[in-house]
Amino acid sequence: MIYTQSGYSPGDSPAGVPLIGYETRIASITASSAATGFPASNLLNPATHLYWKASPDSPVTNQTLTITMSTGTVNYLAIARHNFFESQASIALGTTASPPNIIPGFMVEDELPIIFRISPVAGPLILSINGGSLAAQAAVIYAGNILVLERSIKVDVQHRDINHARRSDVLGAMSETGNFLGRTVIGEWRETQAEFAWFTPSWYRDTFEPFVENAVTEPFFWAWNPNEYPEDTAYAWLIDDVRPETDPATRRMAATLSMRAIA
Amino acid sequence: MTRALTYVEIDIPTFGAFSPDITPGTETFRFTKDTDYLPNTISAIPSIKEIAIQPQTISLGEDLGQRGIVTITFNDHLHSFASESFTAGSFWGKFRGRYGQTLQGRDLRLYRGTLGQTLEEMETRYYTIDSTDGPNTNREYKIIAKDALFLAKAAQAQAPVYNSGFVSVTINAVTTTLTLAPTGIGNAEYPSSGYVNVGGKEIMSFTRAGNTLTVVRGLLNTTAQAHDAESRVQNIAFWEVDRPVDIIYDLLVNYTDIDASLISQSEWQAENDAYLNVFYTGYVADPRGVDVLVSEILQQAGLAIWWDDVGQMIRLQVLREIPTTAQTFDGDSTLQGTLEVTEQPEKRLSEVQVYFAKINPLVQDDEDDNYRSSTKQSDSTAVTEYGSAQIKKIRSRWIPTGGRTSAETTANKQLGRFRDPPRNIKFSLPRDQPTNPALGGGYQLQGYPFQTSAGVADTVPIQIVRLNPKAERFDIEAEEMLFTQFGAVVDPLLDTVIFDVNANNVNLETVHDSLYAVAVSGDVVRAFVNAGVIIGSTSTSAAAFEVGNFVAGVTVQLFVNGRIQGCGGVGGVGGDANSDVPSAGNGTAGGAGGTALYTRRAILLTSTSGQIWGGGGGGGGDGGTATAGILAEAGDGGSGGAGTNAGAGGAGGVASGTIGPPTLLQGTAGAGGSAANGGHSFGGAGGNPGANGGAGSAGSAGGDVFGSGGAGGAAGNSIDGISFVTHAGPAGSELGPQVN
Repeated sequence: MIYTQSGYSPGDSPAGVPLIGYETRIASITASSAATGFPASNLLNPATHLYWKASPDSPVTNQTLTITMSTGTVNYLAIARHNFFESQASIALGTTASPPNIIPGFMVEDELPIIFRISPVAGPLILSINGGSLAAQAAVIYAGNILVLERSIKVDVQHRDINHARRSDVLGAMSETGNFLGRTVIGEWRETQAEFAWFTPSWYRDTFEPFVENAVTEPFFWAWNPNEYPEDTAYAWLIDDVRPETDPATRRMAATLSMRAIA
Repeated sequence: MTRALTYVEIDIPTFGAFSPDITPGTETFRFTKDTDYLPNTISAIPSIKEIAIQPQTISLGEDLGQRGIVTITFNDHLHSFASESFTAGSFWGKFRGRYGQTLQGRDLRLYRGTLGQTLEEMETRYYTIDSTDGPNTNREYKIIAKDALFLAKAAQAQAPVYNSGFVSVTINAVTTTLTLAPTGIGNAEYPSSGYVNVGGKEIMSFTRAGNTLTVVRGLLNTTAQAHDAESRVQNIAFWEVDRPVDIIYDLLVNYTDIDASLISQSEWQAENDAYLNVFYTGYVADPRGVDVLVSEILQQAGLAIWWDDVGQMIRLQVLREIPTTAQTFDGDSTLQGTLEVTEQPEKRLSEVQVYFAKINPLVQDDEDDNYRSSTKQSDSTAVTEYGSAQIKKIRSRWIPTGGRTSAETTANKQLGRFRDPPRNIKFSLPRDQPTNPALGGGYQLQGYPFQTSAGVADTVPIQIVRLNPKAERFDIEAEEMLFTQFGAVVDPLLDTVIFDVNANNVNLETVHDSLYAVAVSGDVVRAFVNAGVIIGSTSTSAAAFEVGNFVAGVTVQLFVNGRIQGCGGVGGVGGDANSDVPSAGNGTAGGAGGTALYTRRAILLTSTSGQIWGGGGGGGGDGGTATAGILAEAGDGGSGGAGTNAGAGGAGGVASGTIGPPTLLQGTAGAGGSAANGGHSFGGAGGNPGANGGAGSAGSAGGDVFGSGGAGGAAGNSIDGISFVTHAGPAGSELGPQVN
């Protein structure tokens, strides 16, 4: 889900244009508490199996993460995995913890990756987690400047948005006499392709290529249509190389992002 | 729709804590098979690529079966264990660097469950890590784990444990002291007492102080002999009158690395006592694989053993019929297209021979001559039906002398199981049914292949011998459990003792206690003296057969089809004679015969076709005769009374005298055990079975003096304690007094 700072109008995301959060300028993250084996530093790497978890001995309320940037300002902060929805915790974002002066406390609506769009700020940013029935936990935080693609996904082909592009291994069971004995899902994931065309060569080279190069190894936050479907967010990684094609006549460039995601 | 989840946990020592002074803690790593719906509440590393399970196979009544192996293949990935860089190396590369090959013997748990369950609610299967492999260039790492019973493999476990001690100096055949070498080996490797195998030639019992053994020579049917220096001295593993399940327990717990907590000995004993009720004795003189020894017992006692990877226990069961009330799987529950039935004609038997009562533990197990007894069970009808005989021979080191009932039980069970060859059956069941199938469990099965001769759907009893727990279903292999009853059904309250070889001075209670647990109220002890078998006595002061002091409430039934016979009384000594005095001694009385059957507790006696004979009384000695200066004729000894061990004949008297010189006639010794004349016309005849001995004759009245003849010995009692005996049916041949 994308949560935008009240009053903030970036004006840079026309309808249907995807957002990609791959840049992160975070220098360090500290937590008000951390359970043994789940330090806040785990939030700095892109692995979702390494996460921060508040100390179970600490009060469930008033957990804070202080996120310090290395340089410049940031206009987004994203969290790949969390249990804020499951534990029904309230979260808030600000440069001060009390009161939070960027996004006041609210309850997240799902367990999907969270993307905050905020007015550019140098930080440090303080993410507050209040209430909730479980010790707060989260994995992967990026903060930087979000990439707004030059164009929308191709409009002349059907697109499977990744949040609904479910793939699964399902094993059915029928008895010898023909009874239905239930079906078991033994694996499930999200997978899609986003096809683009008509990128200007300079934009591709200056703006998109750094992302592509980074995405060879690093995952990224993805929102395929933030204006119409702000709830559709994903933490994705490429499963095939991006090999752009240039139209010989127009020199415009086309590229396809094949990706899997936590979504 | 059910969403399956799979987790694996391994427990390993905390990294960096290795030190002689530090006992490392345990660190648990949890992995999972990646999927989109992993719950936040169960932290795990989603790196499992594949889980391959080679399920264990139970070998019913044969051996330890095939061990279960689970191979888990992991993908490699970036990771930070501590403060090192996330991008430095890889998870499994660093893991290998941290823990090397030290995972062997560590616990591994495999969880299978569904979304919404906690880890504790999931099905958990327990294994022990055997080896690891990787990471390799495919970016994979493997952990291979097995069920706990793999620790009983021969290469890893032997009984007895090998001893490296030897005889320090040459010893002769009679010395009772043996010194071990090298120095200190006694305390290091040998118990304080027990049996040893010296040089592979002689068994001695011993007590030990340091390196010095005080020994009793030539035991367990071996011969005391000299041994050269450096002859090996091997401690013998032995079990005397133990439940088969207790022997297996001892082998697994004390001779392997299997933890005692993995076995419920009390459950095993209860199973044994309810369905088996036999006791074994065995001596293992040289190291043997624990798996071999356990397998021998499994086969001979008709047991099955397996690793319960869910209950985390080693289970044991006495093979028996599957009750018709057992849970039934039918066409509504078996997965379509999975039912396969295979005939196994090679498993058929028509005759089972059991050799038992092993004589010399040092002799190879496969030599028939080293077994004192044997029995067989056969079914000639099966030979006719199937067109050929299939004979199985079992040599048992565990069934002791007197264990004919145990041997017959072994033969009956084997033939009963395999008289008709059981079918091998494979099928699959879905998960998440009300009751999941259990390895080793007994069930009933219905399906198209199972029909009666009239075409009616049939139900077959099965026991699951292999179970592969997949994420979505169970693949099952089962053995048809057919039982044809041969012999009597084992009654746990009935202890049968069979005397099938001659013996002396039997105490029924002692023999019973060497074969069974001490009888308690409610038990029935049934003893048979087989036809042609004689239970005798070596002493007139000891009955041939004593019932013993069973506690009140134990019913004792004695079936005598052979003979119980007391010892014969000794013959009286002939009187001396001296011609100088002259003087003539009296012959002494013959000894009383011994008792055949003695009891001071109630028994039910069936002796219609048997013999219970008191020992014959000894004949009296003959009196001497003397005439001054002319004749000294000593009396003859009386003959011994009849008995399996006859009474000794009495010695002849001594004739003496110097004046004259006289004629000296030495007395003649009586014959032992003769019921006729005592070898001289004047000695008393030994008594027949249960009869008094004859009186010795007096010396000749023609002499100056003569002694009187000794009285004949009294007949031995056929039964001492007749008021405690109730005859079932007509009494057989019972010769001799019956007293109390």
